[in-house]
Amino acid sequence: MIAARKVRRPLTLLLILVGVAMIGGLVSPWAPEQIDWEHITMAPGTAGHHWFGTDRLGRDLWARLCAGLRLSLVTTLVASAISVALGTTVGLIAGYARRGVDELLMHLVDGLYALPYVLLVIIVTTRVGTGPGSLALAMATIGWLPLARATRDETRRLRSAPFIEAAIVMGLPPWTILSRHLLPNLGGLLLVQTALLAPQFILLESFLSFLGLGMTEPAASLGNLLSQGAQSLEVAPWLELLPASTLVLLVASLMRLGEAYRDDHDAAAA
Amino acid sequence: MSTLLAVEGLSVRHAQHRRSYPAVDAVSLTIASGESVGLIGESGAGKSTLAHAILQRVRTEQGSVRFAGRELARLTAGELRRLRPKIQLIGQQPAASLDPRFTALQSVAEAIVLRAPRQSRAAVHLEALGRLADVGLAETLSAHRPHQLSGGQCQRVAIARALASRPELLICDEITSGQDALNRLQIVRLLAAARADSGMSLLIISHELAILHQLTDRIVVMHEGRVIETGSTSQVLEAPRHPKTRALIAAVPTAIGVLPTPPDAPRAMPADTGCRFQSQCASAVAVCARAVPPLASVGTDRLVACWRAAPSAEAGASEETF
Amino acid sequence: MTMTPQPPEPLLEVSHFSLRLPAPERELTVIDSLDLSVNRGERLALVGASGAGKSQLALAIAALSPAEARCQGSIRFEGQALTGAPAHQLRALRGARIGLIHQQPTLALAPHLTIGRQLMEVLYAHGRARPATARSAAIDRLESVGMPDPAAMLERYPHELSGGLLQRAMIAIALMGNPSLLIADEPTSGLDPSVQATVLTLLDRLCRSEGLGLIFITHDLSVAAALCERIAVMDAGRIVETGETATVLRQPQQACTRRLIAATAALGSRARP
Repeated sequence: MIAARKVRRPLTLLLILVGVAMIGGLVSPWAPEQIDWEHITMAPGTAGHHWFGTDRLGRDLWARLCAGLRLSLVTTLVASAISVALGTTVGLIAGYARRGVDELLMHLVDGLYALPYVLLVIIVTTRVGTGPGSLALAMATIGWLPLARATRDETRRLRSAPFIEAAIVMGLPPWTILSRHLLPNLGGLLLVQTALLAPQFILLESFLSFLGLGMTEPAASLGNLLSQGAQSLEVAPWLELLPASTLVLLVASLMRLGEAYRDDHDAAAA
Repeated sequence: MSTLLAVEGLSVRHAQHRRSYPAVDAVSLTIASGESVGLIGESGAGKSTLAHAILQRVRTEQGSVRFAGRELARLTAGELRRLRPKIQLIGQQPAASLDPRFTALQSVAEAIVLRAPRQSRAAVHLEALGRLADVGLAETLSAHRPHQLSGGQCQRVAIARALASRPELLICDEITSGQDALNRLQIVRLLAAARADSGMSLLIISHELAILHQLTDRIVVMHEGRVIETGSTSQVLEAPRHPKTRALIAAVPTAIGVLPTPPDAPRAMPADTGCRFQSQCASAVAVCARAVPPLASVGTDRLVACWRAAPSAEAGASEETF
Repeated sequence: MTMTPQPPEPLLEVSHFSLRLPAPERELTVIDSLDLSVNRGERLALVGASGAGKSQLALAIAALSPAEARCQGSIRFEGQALTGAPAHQLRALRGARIGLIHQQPTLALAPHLTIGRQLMEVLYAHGRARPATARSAAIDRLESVGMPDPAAMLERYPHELSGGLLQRAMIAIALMGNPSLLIADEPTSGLDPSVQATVLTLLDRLCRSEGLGLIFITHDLSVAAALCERIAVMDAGRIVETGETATVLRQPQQACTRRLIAATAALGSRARP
């Protein structure tokens, strides 16, 4: 599955971006917050090892972009991890339990679904603070819902699948059936759902930071950079274009990856 | 021969469209150790439901199922689970009954490991390969997953897996449905050989009367949830006593250029009292409308539930409604 | 069996027909230089083991082969060449002159349309009728296949019907365009004998009353023998033997045919030659 052509390209791109995020900052002589008085608002590659140019305060864009990528990826990772853990647990319980418990849990999920997501995130961040941790937490508060639904539906479907029935008739203990037959067959779906969740989180984080609700100055996040860059669009377009392109590449690679896994999963199920 | 399976007065209700009806109605059946019994009847007669009820996979309203003397409904979950390998079922959907992520070998090996947890991996592997070879699956296919195998091949894997549990009773539910004659013959030979090897009992549910000739000692005929006739295979198939059994047999094509006889269309709405078959029966008489015919003896080990076939049962029968 | 006098031109004539499908390693020859003919009003059984290519042949005759298939040879229907014919011509034939009953009703019937709708669609698709006349035509057709309460059946959905009734609905849809050739792909496989007997009797009656040519595909020799006066045995994409049913079954010439007969006999079926 990993080697499939459709997966290779987005995966490669993603890995490149992750690589850049991790070590890109180390390669540059500049720190993200460091101010270079002599080179303010310089175009990319013109002076002083500023490969991506500098902003109005003389801060190196490459360093800030790498830091921004790092922050976005980490926040998304944490938010995804919380969502997956919570979503699959609730989904599994609802899928396996009696009707009463299942209905209760699903009503809860549907109820939370009805709340306006962005508003909720805003409320959480204003109360808990605006660091990456709280942002991740805020995003995860509702991010787990679709996963819970999908997991519950798939668990329910698998439960009545002939091969699960065959496993019961064979005499396998319930835990073995769950771990050996149910979960692995659920795994494909989970991977797809998670892969499609990540780009949404990235966009959300960027959006919030852009509005000033996510990460705030002087921290560099993709959203911040987009927000700052927007202000100097006519004078220094690279300040907007480069972060925007990075965001596009990141989201596109994640989405392609998710879609490739989903197609693969659907084809196998057919 | 000791009794392996004793089903007594088993009833299962099925709910559909806001009404419930008896899918299995007071069915009694015994299978002795080493015996092979065939179960025939129209679609919807309750055969599969009976099989699942024996396995304790559907809820029963009444009656009991005793396996090797033990009442299955009284067992704890753990006891039932430990007993399960002794009663195995092979169904109609071979590909779907295999875990899509397991290779043929892994599916069979799982049953072996459950039976003999202390066996070394090498021994399990060897036995699994052997069992697949026994069912005629080429070794190259043992690493294939269900979606890479044909329906007939999946069925063989399912058979190998069921046999790997070393069951004392094997229930086969329409396992040759939709297979060509060559495959069907192989499956029949397979089961006959397995039975000869291990002395296991068989319960064969099938529409195909041809298979029953080869594989079964006795036949039980069901109609709308009830047992209507039992007897040895040759008796039931060659000299059927119940009109429904006769109709079932007449519906099988047997000669070149001669169309099989379709069942009579029901002449009237199903009646509330009396024999359930009367509206389709050409030989119905007055008593058929009054009371449900009980299963009465018409010879050694020969039972028929029909007023015409067993008139002596009328004496002492009370009016029953259902 | 009566010998039908041979009409001048066969209803269907397949000559040296080959069908190849692209496959990962090399091209797969599904049908290999096959010859077959069916006359008007004739019932031909097409038998063979699973995988012999029977269904592919049925699809090819109904011009429903997959787009990537490579075909050679010719198929002529009512004197017209089907191979190489333009798409609109094939569309006009399919469903109207050639009816096809698929192997699996659940796949062939649209789950979201009522039976009545699917019947009338056949007429609309061929520009044959308006809603008023289409409805009565549908009821007539359902009656001809022995459907109980045809008017009510129009409003039912496929999932509400049991196996036997579903099969009748399929036959009704296939016959809706009053075709001259009916291809039935395993219409009785998996059905219990009572339902099977009903379907066979129905097909027999319809073929006689409407003068239909029939290609009946099955792997069950006894079913083939009961209904069809001619039989063609297919193996690995070729027709290995063909002739009058009684003759072929009593005096099989090819090993493949003998194997099929032997297997059927060994199963204890009483369809003895």
